[in-house]
Amino acid sequence: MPMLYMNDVVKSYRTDLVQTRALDHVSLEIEAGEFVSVSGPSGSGKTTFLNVTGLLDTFDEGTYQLDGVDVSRLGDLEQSRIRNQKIGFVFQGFNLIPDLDIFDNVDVPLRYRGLSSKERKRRIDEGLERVGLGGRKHHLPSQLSGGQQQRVAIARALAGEPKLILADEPTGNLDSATAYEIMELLETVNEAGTTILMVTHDPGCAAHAHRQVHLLDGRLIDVREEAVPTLNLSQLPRVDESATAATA
Amino acid sequence: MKHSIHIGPLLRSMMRNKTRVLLLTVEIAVTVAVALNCSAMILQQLEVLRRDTGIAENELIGVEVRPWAADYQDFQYRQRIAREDLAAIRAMPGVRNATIINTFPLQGGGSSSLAGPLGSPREEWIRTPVYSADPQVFDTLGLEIVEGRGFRETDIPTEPGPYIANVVVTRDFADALFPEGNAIGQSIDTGGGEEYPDVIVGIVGHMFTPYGGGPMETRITFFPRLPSSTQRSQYLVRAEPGAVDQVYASLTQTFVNVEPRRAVALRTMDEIKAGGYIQNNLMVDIYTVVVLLLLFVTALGIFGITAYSVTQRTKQIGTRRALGAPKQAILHYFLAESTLVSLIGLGLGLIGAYGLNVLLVNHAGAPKLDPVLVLVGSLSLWMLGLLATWAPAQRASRLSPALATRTV
Repeated sequence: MPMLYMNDVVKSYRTDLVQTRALDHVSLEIEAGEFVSVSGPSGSGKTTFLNVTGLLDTFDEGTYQLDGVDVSRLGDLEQSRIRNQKIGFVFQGFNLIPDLDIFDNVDVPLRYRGLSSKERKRRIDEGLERVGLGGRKHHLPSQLSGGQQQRVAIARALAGEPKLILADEPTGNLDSATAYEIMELLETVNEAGTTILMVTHDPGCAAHAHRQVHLLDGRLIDVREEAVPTLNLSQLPRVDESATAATA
Repeated sequence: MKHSIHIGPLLRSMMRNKTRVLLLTVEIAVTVAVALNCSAMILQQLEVLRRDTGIAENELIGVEVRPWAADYQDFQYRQRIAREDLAAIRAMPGVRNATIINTFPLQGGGSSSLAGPLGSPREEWIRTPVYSADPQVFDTLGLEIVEGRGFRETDIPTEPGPYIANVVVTRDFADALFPEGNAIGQSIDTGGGEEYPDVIVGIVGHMFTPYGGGPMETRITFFPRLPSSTQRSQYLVRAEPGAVDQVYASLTQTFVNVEPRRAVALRTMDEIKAGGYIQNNLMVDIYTVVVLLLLFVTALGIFGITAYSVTQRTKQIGTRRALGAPKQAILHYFLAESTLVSLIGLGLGLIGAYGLNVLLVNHAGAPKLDPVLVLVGSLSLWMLGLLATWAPAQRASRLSPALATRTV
């Protein structure tokens, strides 16, 4: 049973005058334990793809199964439960809550799960130790560097012990050295058995993945069998920015 | 999936947003302190307005007669016309009784006098509102004689000038003058001295008339007389239950039939009472406006700050949703935040309310804060806080989790 099975998924954005197809019959299958990168030029539908995959947004057509569960028509409560228990998110901007210290930030998804305080503490301590921030529990996000904040975000994603980690440009706001560290951390997480789907426009980051897929005008190109290192994104056809702006 | 309220992180988060929390708590605290004391004073005034006067207010009509004929200069003529008026009114269908009286009760103020047991030092005399009326005054007003007797026709003086009067007093006045309870038959001095004392012949159970506050409002004295002046006479007419309108419609004509050379003006007891309670009504109105204004401004403040907070935290809300918070958890988060702020504001406000109350009780005659009022007021303010938070909190709960990936 694949971790993620998407078949003919279509997602469109409508305004009064224009309809933009952000995902155009996307089909994808990811096995448990895989590390897959999704790349593509700006406006290609990467964020929409991540939103649909992470149950952050709905889709119009097609089927989508996550860990064997058809998530196509679930209600808010059920979707929230799946996001909380099966998915860990790592965002480009880290998305830490500025008013909460590191401990409370990692605690956020655990509280929504309703775990006991003892179990939450164990997971938080373990998660922060794993990313090397065990001694910074009571620091505020603003007191940490970008790389450290992203480590906290990874600890937050890991604390829920998810089956799938969705990473949205996880190194987008980091310098290259820190980006490399984060990618190594994600690789370690993947080696421990967690499936990772990472959206990135950075070929260097994408190279860490076992498999790379590309989005172009909302269409998915699986390059599993292609020679990934030689792919030059600048040679891909130009995308009409104005037509796809809504998907950004 | 649980989405219980997470008080710990919420409190810690609030403590890191001190300015916002401080603004709201101070606003709520001031509102609690002022609104509770204003409400106590509103209730105090309403209590006065609703106080049992002992009078059959709903069945009474007041009549003011202003004659212009020269005959009215003559005391005997005025007495004769008064008797003819009373006889004609009492003969009207729907009329239970009528009296001629110097001042309408409940109109606020009137005539008052100092009185004390005969021979007592003047410094110990007590002030009493004074009514002069014919013997039917008690039945007309609906007052019950609980001891002794009412007036008789023979109690009414036949000539103007000082006289030894048989008087009827209220129970409160009798007890104030003679605490031993032996008021009947006692002589009192209302200014006539040893030569013209007044003798208490009867006691009325209860009567209240507004007179600017204080115990004198229930310490009342009735003198037997047919009071009339060359310029004015006043009558009170008691209709049978349900016949007030019918009597009101034909009263003027009855007076005109007896003596056409005079102007007749009718007033219901509600109209008379409005004058007596004008200050109370005004205070109720002012305090109510103050309380409503405070509540409105506070609700607006809570709404505005919460709405601003939602806008500021859009990305954070999206992140919480992405991390597994259902819509309801977001709603509960903001309601819990509002409740915590309200509780802190209420706590500070209650301290302020009691402090302010001590000042008002000592210097402005305000009542002490009733614990029930404090409880109801606090709950109402908490509910107001929740209501003011509801709309922005609902908006927050409807934000899409996809905001987490958006660059806001």
